[in-house]
Amino acid sequence: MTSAAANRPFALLTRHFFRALFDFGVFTQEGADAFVRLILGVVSLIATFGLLLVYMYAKKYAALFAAPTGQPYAEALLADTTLAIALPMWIVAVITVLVSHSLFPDETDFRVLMPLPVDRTVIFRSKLAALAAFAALFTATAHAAMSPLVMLISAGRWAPDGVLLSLLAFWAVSVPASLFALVAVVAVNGALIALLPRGRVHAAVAAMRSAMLGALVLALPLVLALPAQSGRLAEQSRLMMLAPPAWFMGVDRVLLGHGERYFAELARIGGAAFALVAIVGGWSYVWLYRRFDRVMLHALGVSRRARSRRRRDNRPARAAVADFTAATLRRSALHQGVVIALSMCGVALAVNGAIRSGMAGWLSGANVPAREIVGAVSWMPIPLIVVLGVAARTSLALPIEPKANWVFQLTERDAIRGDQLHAAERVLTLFAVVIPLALTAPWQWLAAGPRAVLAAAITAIIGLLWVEALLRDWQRIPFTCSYMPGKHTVAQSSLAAFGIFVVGGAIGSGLEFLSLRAPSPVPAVVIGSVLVLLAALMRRQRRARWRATPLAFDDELPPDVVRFRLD
Amino acid sequence: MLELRGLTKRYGGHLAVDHVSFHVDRGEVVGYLGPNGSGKSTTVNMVVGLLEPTSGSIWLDGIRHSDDPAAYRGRIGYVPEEPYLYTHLTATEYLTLVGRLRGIAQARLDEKVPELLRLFLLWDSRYSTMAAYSKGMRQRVLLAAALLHNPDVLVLDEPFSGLDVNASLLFRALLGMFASAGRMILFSTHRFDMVEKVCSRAVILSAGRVAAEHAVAGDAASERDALERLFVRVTAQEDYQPIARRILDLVQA
Repeated sequence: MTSAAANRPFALLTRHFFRALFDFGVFTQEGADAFVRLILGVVSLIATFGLLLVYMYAKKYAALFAAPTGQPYAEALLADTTLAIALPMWIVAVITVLVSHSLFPDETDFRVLMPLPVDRTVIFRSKLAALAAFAALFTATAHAAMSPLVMLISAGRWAPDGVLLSLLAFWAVSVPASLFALVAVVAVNGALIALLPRGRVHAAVAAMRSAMLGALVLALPLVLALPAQSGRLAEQSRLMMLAPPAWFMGVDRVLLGHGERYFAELARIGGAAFALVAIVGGWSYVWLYRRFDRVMLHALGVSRRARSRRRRDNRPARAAVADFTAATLRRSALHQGVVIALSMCGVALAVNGAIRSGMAGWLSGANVPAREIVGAVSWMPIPLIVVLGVAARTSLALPIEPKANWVFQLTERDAIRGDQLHAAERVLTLFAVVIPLALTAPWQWLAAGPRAVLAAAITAIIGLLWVEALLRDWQRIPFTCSYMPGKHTVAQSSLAAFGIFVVGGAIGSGLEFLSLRAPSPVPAVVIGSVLVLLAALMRRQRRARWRATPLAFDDELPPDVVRFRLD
Repeated sequence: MLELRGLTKRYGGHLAVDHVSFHVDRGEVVGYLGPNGSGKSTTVNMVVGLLEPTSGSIWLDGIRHSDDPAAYRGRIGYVPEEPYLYTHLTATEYLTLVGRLRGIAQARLDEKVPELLRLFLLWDSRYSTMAAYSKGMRQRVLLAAALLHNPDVLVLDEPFSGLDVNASLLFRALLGMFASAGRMILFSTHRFDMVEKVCSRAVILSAGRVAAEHAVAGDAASERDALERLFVRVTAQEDYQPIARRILDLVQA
C-alpha cells in the first residue's frame, strides 16, 4: 500500500470531523450553509477589530514615543503586549467551548466508524487534527489581526527590540498561549468525561460548558481593561500572577532577554500551567482511547433520573409547551449555553458600567458624587433588559429535534395557538423584565431610596416594551422551527444592534434617571403611563395576530435583494 | 368510514400520488403496500394532515377533512415510520406533552400515562430521557402516544420496525382488539407477513396509483404467497434472481 493510500482514511476523517465542528445538529442544510457564512463574517469582524485597535493605539503611542523618558512607554508596552496575547487566547477559548460537543470521538463515531476497517488510532488522530485545524483558523486570524498592533507598539525610539524580533517573539509566545486556552478547555471536558460516573457525564459537561462560556464572557471586560493594568505590571504586582495572559507576557519578556525575576516567575507559572493542562488533556484522550468501547457501550445502559417538573394549569396546551420549554432549557447544552453566554454579555456590560462610574469605591465608603451613582444605577437595567431578552429569544429560536415537530403540527389548531405561543412570552418576560428587575432594584434602592420603586416600575415597562419588540415577528413554538443563522451580514447586524443599543439605552437610562433624580416624580409617572398603554396595545395586537396566523415550522432566508425604499 | 377520493399530490413537476382512492371501514385493518418511492408515505402524511393534497379529498364518517381540519386531526392517531420524538424528554414527559396538546385533562393523564408505561413495558425506564432508549422502546412510546386520546382512526407507518418479538406480539394483539372495537386502522408496511397476520384487506400502490386491492383470507402460507405474487405482478417488479446473481458476481469479482 502506498503512503498516499494509507493516509487516505486519515485525510477523509479529518475533513469529516472538521465539517462536523460547524454542525450543531440542529440546522437544516440551508441553515448549516448560513452558519458557515456567519463564521466567515465573525472571522472578518475579528480582522476589522485588529485594524480598529491599531487606529486607536496610533495616537497613544505617538505621544509615548514623544515623551522625554522611556518609562511611560515601557509600562504601556507590558500591558499592551499582555492585551495582544490575551485577545487571541480569549477568542480561541470561546470557540473551543462552543465546539466542545465535538472535542472527543463520540457514540456516533463509535457506532459508525468502529465496524469499518479504520484503526482506532486513525479516528482519534483525525479528531485531534480536525480540532487543530479549526483552532488554527481562528488562531491565525486573531494573530494576523493583532500583528499590526504589535508592530506599532514595537516601532519607536524607546522600543528596546526591533520590530521584526518583537513580532517573532509575539507569535512564538502568543500562539502557544492560544494553544494553552484550547488545551485547557479540552482538559476540563476530558477530566469530567473520565472521572464522573457515566450517568452524570452528559449533564456535567453541559453545565460546565455553560459555566465556561459565562465565565469567558464575564472575563472580556477584564481582558479589555488590561491596558489599564500597566501600573500593576510595572510595580510587579503579585495579583497579575492570577492572569494567564500575564504568564505568557512573562515568557515573551524572557525570550527577548528581559528576564527580570518577576517576569521569569510569570513565565515559570505559565510553563507549569501549560504542562498541567497538556498532561490532563493528553491523559483524558489516552484514557478514552483505551476505553472507547466500554465507555460508549456503557453509555447506552444509562438510567439517568431526569428531574421532572410538571405544572398545573387549567389550559393544557399552555402547560404542555411551558413544561417542554423548561425541560429543553434545563437539559439541552446548546440552548443553555446560548442563553447563559449571551446573558453574561449583558451582565458584563452592566457591571462594567457600574465599575467605571466608581460604584465599587462608593460601596467601600469613598466620596463619589451622588449624581454619578444615580447615573450608574439608571444605566444598569438597560444592558440587562436588552441583552438578556435577545439571549432568551435566540435560544428559543434554535430547534432541538426538527424531525420530531410533527407532533406539534398534528395538534395545531386556532383555539390553542395563543396558549402554545404563550411560553415564549413567559420566558422573554422572565429574562427581559423579572431578572433585570431583581438584579437592579436593590442597587437603585441603595442609591436613591424609596424613589427606586418608581424606577423599578420604569424598568418593568421598558422590559415589557422590549418583549413586544422581540416578539414582533414571532410565530413559533419554542425550539420547533428550523433556524437560519446570519440572515443579515455580521457587520449589518452589529451596526443595527449597536444603534438600537445606543439610542434605546440613552432613552431608557434617561427615563430611569428621571424617575430617580428629578425633583418631582410626576414626569416619570406620566411618561411611564403612556408607555404602559403602548405596551398594552402592542400586546393586544400581538395576541390577535397569534390567534390568526398559523405556526411557523420552517425558517426562511430573506430575499437576496433587500430594497431600501429610498425613493 | 375513512375514505380517500382521488387524492393527488404533486411536487413541482413530480407526481408523487396520483388519484388514489380507497376506504377503510369501521372494524377494518387495511394494509397499504408498495415498493419504496411508490407514494405510501406521502399518502400517509396527507391522511394524518401533515401534507395538504394538491387535489382530491379525505372523508371521515361523511365529513370532509378540509371542512374542519383540527377536528379531523383530533380523531387520528399516528405512528410515524421513524421514531422521531424529543429524545431529551422522558417517556412520561413526552406522553404528557402529547396528551395536553390533545386537550386531555391533567387528572385523566395522571391515570393514563403511568398505566400505559407499565403496559408498554416502559415503566422501569420512566426516569430516563428517551435519548437512552432503543428504537423498539421509542416505537412503543409512539404507539402509546397515538392511542392516548382514544382515536377513531389509527395510521401506522411501519410500526413493527425495531420491535422485539414480545412487543410485536403485543402490538398485533392490540391492533386486532382496537379494530374489533369498531375503529379503523390504516397500516402502511413493506412486510407481507404482517399484512397477512394483521390486515383484512390490502391496497397495493405502484408509481403513485392504486394498482390492486386484495382481500386477505385463507391459510397463512398460501395467503402470503398469493399476496406476494399479486404484488410482484401489479407493481411490475423485476425477476430478482438474475439481479441477485449479478450482485454476487460483482462483489466476488
